[in-house]
Amino acid sequence: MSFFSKTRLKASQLFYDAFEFLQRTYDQAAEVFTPASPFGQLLTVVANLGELIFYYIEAVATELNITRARNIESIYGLSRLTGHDPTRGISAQGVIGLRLNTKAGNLFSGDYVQILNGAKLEVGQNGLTYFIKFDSDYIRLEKTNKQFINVELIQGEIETQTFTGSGLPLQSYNLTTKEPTDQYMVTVTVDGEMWKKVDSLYDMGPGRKDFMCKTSVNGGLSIFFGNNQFGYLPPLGSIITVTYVKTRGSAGNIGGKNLDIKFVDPGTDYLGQEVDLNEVLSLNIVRNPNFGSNSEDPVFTRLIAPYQSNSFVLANPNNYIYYLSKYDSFSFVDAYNTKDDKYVSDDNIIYLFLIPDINKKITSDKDYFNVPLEEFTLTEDEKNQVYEILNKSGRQVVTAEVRINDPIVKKYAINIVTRWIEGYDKDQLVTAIRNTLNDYFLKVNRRDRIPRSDLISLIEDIPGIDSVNVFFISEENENAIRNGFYFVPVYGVDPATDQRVLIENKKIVLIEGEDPQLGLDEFGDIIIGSDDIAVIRGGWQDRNGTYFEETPVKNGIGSLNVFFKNVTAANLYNKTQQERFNELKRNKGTTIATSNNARATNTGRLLDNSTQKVIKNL
Amino acid sequence: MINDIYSRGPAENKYTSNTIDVTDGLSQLILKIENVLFTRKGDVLGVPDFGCNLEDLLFSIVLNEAVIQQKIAAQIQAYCLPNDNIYGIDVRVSFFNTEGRNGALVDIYINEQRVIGALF
Repeated sequence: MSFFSKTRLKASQLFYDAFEFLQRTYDQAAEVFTPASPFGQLLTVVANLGELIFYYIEAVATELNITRARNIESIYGLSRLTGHDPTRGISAQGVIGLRLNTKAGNLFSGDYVQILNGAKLEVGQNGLTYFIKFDSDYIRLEKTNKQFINVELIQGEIETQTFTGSGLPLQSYNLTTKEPTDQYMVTVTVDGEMWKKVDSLYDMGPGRKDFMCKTSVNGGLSIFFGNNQFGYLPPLGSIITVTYVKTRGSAGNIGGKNLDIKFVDPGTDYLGQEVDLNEVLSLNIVRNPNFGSNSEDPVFTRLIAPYQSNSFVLANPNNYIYYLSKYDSFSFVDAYNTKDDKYVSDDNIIYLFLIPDINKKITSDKDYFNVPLEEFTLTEDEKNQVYEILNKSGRQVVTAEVRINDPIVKKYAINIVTRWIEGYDKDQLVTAIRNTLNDYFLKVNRRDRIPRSDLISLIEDIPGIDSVNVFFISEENENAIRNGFYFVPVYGVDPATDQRVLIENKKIVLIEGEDPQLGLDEFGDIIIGSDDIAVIRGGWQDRNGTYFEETPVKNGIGSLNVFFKNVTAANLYNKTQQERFNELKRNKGTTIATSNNARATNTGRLLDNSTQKVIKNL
Repeated sequence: MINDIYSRGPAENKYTSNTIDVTDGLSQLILKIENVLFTRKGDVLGVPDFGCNLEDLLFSIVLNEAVIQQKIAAQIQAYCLPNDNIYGIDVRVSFFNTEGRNGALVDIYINEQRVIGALF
């Protein structure tokens, strides 16, 4: 085809050449090629169909690569090939204690109230539905028993779907669900008999009644049965019932120690009469619902899929990182062991370093600067829950032991000095700065350092701010300067155990006027140690004895202080210069991609298609 | 010389069964105007703005005759006229109201001569 050149392979060039060829060959004027002309309309449509074909070929090629795929189905599907099972969601789980209250005796007949497993209730704090779960079909609360009976409290609603067995080996059934479902709470019964869930076909023993459950590429779930060599196959005509839990993920997490519980399902007395559980029960909140997680973010799927171990055990640190990363309650998950030292007795210990995601804990009346400090670390309850999650997984190797290391909280304050533009309200500027930094600290979870330039860049973009400088003040550094000394841990190797141990905390005395810059680097950026967590929080004094309040305060010194130094006149000259500066920044490529300028989105491509360009140029 | 496909169907007025192409500029212009008048926006793949959407325009309760004329003229200008246009195009829209029926008449004049008339 002589009218195509190998050096002109862009879609617009191909079509331009085709139009030119036809124009030349058939001696047509350019105006023939408008869509109003029958000939031009046919050409336009064929050219657009051709471009769509190119587009789909490109899309197919792109969607086969997990790092470049855009469709969530493609990413999930490709991750399944690695053995990764994308998280559909995880229900928040807590524990409550139940017993009959003192007034219950007159409210029903007989000696007990019977409550069925899975009884539904609503929690006032978030308006979501929960249910209670225990290991039997029902529990009976006796009038004479004053002890609380602890049961699991789980967010979600139980649903079932039924299929008919085909009698064939390796049967699979796809369950379409409109809402996310819990990753782990899936049960399957075949003709009323409960089958056991396993992770892999190879975990199914010969003739054993096992099934496998995986996330479908469309977000639902798929159930797989074995053949007679691996597992067993549901017979022809058998009734397969799949029970799962619809979940709202992290929305089910509730902080604090109070729950506003209202039972929806009734209990029954010994005559089988319904009993309103809200009137007869006393509740003890043992542990609030927590660790609920949303469906897996496809960006996360891309990153985590290579870590999937097909052994389905928690043996090495990577296995733990992979498993716990499924819970989006953490902003950072690290795991390590000490196999690199010569001391072998603790090589079976996996140390976990977990930082909770503050975004999931923050309430509407709080922001980063006044959320309680304990929210930055795991509480004892939460740690116990992590241990429980790992135990319940059934994947831990018998010899492994897990320890959760507490991060060391390092406190910092921020001083911001600004020159503002005349006419702007200072209080509003302070609020805008606080909101901007709140977003930064909630969304950016760097583990190495917090650069001053990040904050300066953000604050500078706030309307009304002409110039800004930011300074971090480290509690550790200020304490050292005020006291005249600080301690440095000195580690060595214990000759008896050959293990790295803390030998002493060496006292370093400062010479007068020396600033050791503890917790800060030469740029004045915050340095975050591997076991540290940096928090913008006061509650300490600086070198001059000035007390920094815990949280930002309006008239005083707190964890976030804004000082207004000078004012810039809002005259025409300054406005013009500012506009030029803004234009310079825009031209540097700081424009945020939108559907109009993003080339990579489907909509952008099709609105700006090359055939249109060719037609315009003719 | 301009050659184009003759696109009138047998059900249309002025259809001639022994014509397969048009060779003169005026006939081609009339065909183009017919195409743009009776095409709905979005019907031609890849050219979402092509088409007058006449029925929507005429039976819209917020547009007057002048606005509709202007919209039709804009479509003709964009898609039908050659660069070296020698024709004077005039679009006239008039609403009528008879007993039991409201309607609209769209007339296209080329060089003061009515070449297309459509009754809605």
